[in-house]
Amino acid sequence: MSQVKARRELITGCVSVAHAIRLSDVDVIAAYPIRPYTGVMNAVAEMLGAGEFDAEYLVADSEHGQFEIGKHASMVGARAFVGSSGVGWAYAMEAIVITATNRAPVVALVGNRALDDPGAFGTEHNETFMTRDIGWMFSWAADAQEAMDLTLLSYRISEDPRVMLPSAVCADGSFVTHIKYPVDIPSQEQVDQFLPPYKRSSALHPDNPFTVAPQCNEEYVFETRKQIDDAVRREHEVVLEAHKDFSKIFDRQHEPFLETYMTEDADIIFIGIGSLALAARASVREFRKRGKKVGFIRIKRFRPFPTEELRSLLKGREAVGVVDIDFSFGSPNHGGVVYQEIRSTLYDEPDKPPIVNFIAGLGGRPVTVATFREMADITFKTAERGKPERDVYWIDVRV
Amino acid sequence: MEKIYYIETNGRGVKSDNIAREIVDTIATAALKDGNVAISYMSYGDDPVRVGIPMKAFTAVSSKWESIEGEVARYNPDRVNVSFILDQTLSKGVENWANMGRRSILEKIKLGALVIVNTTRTPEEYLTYLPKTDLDYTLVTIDGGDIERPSVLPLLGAFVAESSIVSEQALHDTLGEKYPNLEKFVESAATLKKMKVPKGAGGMPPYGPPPRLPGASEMPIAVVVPAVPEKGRNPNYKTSSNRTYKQSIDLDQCIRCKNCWIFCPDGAIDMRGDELPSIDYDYCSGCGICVNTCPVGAIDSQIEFKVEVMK
Repeated sequence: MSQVKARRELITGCVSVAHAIRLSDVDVIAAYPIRPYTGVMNAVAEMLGAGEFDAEYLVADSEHGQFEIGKHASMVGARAFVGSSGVGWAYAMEAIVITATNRAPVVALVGNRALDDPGAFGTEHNETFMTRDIGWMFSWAADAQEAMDLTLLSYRISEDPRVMLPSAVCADGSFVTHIKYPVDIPSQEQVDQFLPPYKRSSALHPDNPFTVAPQCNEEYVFETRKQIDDAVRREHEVVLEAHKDFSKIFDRQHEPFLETYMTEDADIIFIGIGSLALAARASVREFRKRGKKVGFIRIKRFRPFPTEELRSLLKGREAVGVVDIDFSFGSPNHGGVVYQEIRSTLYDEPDKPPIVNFIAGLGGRPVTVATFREMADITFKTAERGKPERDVYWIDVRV
Repeated sequence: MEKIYYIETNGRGVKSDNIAREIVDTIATAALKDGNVAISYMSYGDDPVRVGIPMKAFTAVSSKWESIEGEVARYNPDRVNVSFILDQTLSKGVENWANMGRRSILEKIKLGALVIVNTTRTPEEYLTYLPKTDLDYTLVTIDGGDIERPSVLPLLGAFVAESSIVSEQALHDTLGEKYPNLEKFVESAATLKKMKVPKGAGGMPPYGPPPRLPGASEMPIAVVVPAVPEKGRNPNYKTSSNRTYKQSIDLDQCIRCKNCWIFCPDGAIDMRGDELPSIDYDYCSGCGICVNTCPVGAIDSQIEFKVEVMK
């Protein structure tokens, strides 16, 4: 098939997402500034101003209003985009919840940012994890290319009639949102082939009046939760299908749930989320040169969680180090959120490895190759002992 | 491991931040055309830019993605091979948001780095405004055509003449139709004003190491910043590094109306009782609002170099 191929440009993750919005022909974009997400809204506004595509662009009174606009647009059958960061995402919480319960397949960008106070622009994953249990899907980009690709994939997966639930593409503040990487921008032809138009069976319209989400208490609420649970359980196969088509159309391979880096023969494995993957890969190569069998797994999709995939990958390893760029104060062992999920995943496994948790990179402090060296020392000792000396280590923090 | 080249541009918010970004983006794009890999970014804490406040943008170039990868997810490189200084008054130093106080404009340069400054002065003259360092480096001065908003061409012409990080052809192709005459500036680079600066040279005192930041157990709970004492100013945040133009008050003309004192957004003017006003140049950011508020035209504004040696 002859078609226009991608063109390569040096752009930030935010601009990359804006291209995905343009190519997805999004109808309604609701915006409210908070960095690092603001980069997307700026780039979209520039594209609309230049006439590169056509959409309703609404600047809301707050994040709460912004997410309400996105949800309502989606309910009338418009493809909608929203996004925020840190406390902005938190402020929109009520609207975020009902976007899922009203089954509006909105796509959002979360530019991950520490929750204020004190003020910080840098990455923490806590604002995303505040909303992890309510039916949104979460994927995490490690670079600008992935931020674009995951946005395209998110519309396809969210709007699938088997799913009809919102998606958030998460991108680490600065490291993904604001660094310019070479990015392949696909052609409109490619995207049109990948992404069918959004169709909603029960779209609100004056000719077709009905009430959404009335007060219904214990008579109906339980069943709506069951509907979401059923849909979430179908997400796994929809994700796989979407990724398969994506690879065919865009000539790019994307592992749907987990990035595995030199894990095949690895004795110890690091697990992490987001942009720390770049330093992790460089560290793994460094350890391999010294004959140490280290591997790295990046969780690309946090919801739906790749439970079975992780079980088979982690089976029989000597030790696993989970790196959390988040905190969950007072949780079991005082560990991070990803750590809790991995431990829960492995609970029933007969051959489960010892797990050690690292809290790193809080407030946006960079997780570097040196950080991984320190974490590897502890993980190797955990492997030798067969269990961790301490369950949770705070790394690179001044005590 | 392939070598990584880092390039930084030092500009001022709103005045030259777009030029600073254009330079690093152009170099990064040219590097891609050469078949190398590159990323570029603006120092995150400097964005959004604020008027006159020093900002930095960076690019990292290497022949292989694998060698650059571990360095990508950071705010700043540790050291740079090339440093552009777009405004000569940036020699006063730069401040970031990390409560580190004012730091040397040369803090990030590597041994043997290339430092390209937009100024009409010779390298020997300009060196008198630079702090001493413990490194040898090459200092190039070039007239960018405007004291605050230089043209990118003379600066990139000097860059491509003095380094081999990107090819002239790739740079030419990147600049394209917007700037068709790069070669004119590269040729003139043969007569560049440059000097090898030995370590320890420089007209200003060297900077000490960055301050030690306290640990969690040493800090009060949450982040608590003590107030500046009454009638005092914050010794750790001297905003004069923001200044390109320097104001001076002709006290013979002054009618003591206090307008400048009231309107100064930095609180940099002292005036008590019937005293005449005086500017605390450690804190004056050179915005020039006082010039406009003075009813008798007693305040004058000049490019800082022309007034006196910079503080």
